[in-house]
Amino acid sequence: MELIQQTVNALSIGAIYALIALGYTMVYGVLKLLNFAHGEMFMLGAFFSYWLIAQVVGSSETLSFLQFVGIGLSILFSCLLVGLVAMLLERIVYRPLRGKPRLSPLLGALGMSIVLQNVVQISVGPGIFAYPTLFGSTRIEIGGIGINRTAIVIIGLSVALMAALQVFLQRSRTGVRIRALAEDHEIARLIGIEINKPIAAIFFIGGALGALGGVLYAANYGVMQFSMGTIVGLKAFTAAVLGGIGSVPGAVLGGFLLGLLETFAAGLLPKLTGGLIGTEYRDVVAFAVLIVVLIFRPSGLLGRPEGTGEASDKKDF
Amino acid sequence: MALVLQFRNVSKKFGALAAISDLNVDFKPGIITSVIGPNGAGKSTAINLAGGAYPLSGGAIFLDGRDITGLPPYKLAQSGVSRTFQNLRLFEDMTLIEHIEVCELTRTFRQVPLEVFWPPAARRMAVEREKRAMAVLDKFDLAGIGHVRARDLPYGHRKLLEIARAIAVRPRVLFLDEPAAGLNFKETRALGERLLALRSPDLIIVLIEHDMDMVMRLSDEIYVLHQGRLLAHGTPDQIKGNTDVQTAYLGSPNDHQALQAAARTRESRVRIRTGEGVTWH
Repeated sequence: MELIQQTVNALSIGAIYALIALGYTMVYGVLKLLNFAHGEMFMLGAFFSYWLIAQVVGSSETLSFLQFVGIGLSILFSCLLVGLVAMLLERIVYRPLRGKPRLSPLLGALGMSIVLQNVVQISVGPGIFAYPTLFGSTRIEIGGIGINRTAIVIIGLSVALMAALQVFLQRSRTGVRIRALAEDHEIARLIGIEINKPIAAIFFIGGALGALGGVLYAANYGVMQFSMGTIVGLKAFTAAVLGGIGSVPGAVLGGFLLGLLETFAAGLLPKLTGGLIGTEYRDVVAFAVLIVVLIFRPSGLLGRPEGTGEASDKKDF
Repeated sequence: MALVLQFRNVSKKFGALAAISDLNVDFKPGIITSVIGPNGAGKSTAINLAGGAYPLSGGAIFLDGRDITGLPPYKLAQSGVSRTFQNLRLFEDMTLIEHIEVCELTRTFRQVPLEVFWPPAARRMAVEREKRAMAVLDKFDLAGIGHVRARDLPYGHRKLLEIARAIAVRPRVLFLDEPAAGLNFKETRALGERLLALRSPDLIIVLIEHDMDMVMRLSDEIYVLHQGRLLAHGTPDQIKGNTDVQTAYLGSPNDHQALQAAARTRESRVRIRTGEGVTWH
């Protein structure tokens, strides 16, 4: 019973990691850029939706049907808004730094992360905000097991969106272009593919998915803070590396794996060590597993090994 | 003004090295124009300049009288300049059809929302796209393997796919950078036939090739570059008889056979003596 409960918890946090990891992995796949400001998209998603939902709900005790619709639209709208913020970041920070040494955009990303955190901290304050439990805390009985409704929404929504993203990348023509860019950025440019629009699309999609991760995370744990993007962003980045950075299915796999590892490590550690090591060590376990994976499979689980005669290594035309 | 690609006083320096100096050439539609010359003569550099891979150090390039100097590569592609690469560069994990699809130049981004949110429209577009891609692949007898990934193709097919990708944009200028390199005799012959079939009144084809046999057979006009400068210009017969060219390649006249043999084996990288006392055209 408890095992299933734990699994559900693991899958819901894993789904959130996966949603955020997608943004890291897509940007890295195309630009070879570690977008460390991506964790802030997660944070902005929570804050934007919080504000929008507050406008919709106001002070009413019970919600009308229209207000439910309004909440849904608020979430959608905040994701789109954050997507635009991510595009803006690309336009004003990363695009001018494209083609410069790799360290420059990386530092740009770190800088933007600090800027965004501080903007939020100054505008709303450094405190912890209570986020509404959007999807209710009622348990739904499935086969005698009570499952939190929020968990169902998180897992269902994430899996649906990740499937949609995969279809988009595999089937649509923008998707084909994005994959061409990811394979060989330079050649795509030289055969005449306009690269700025697909790159903007990647930032938009990544930002919007990250924002949704923020909404779901805040709704699940009931809290949000300006600095929430740092640690969760780092975990999602870990998930992306674990799955193989640059690989979209890898990010999803990495996200769920990290969620499972963390949750079961937290659950099992006190039992195995007789209470010597408590649940607070779950991050240690998660990152230790990451290190082990990187030692034996440096390119991650589904990643392609770098530097093995790939086209991107050839520098002349 | 008639369709023509013009290099006017084009020069390119890499540091102190003048890869191309003061080059004036015209490429005309309807024919195959070859650019030949010893290694390091500046042939690929000329393509890279026209394709926007790097900026010119001086001069200008015109297409139809329009200045296309310094345009970004995607704008050049939109104005009809297309190319293949000396080192084969394909999207290894993508299928042949996707290679062609990715090059299609229509105003696609407006269709994206429809494609993403309305599956029937997306399916319809996908079917149409695939049909168009297949038509292009069919010209190179690649349609049967349209769903194979590039990494699984044999070398000869990879070369063909690169040319197919270059003509997928319906170019007005097609640069082919050593399309026969690495092909065997039979494949080279077949490729020659395909290139001849590509000729059309509104397409400028520029061929860079070391296989002199192929160049002489296919070309209507030949430019000879030597040390970044134009050495000779004429029909294949004129070039064969040009003593300057023979001197530049070999140092001794009347040795076309040796020239052919040496140029064909690219690995042996001909020991080229620089022609002294050569008169520049």
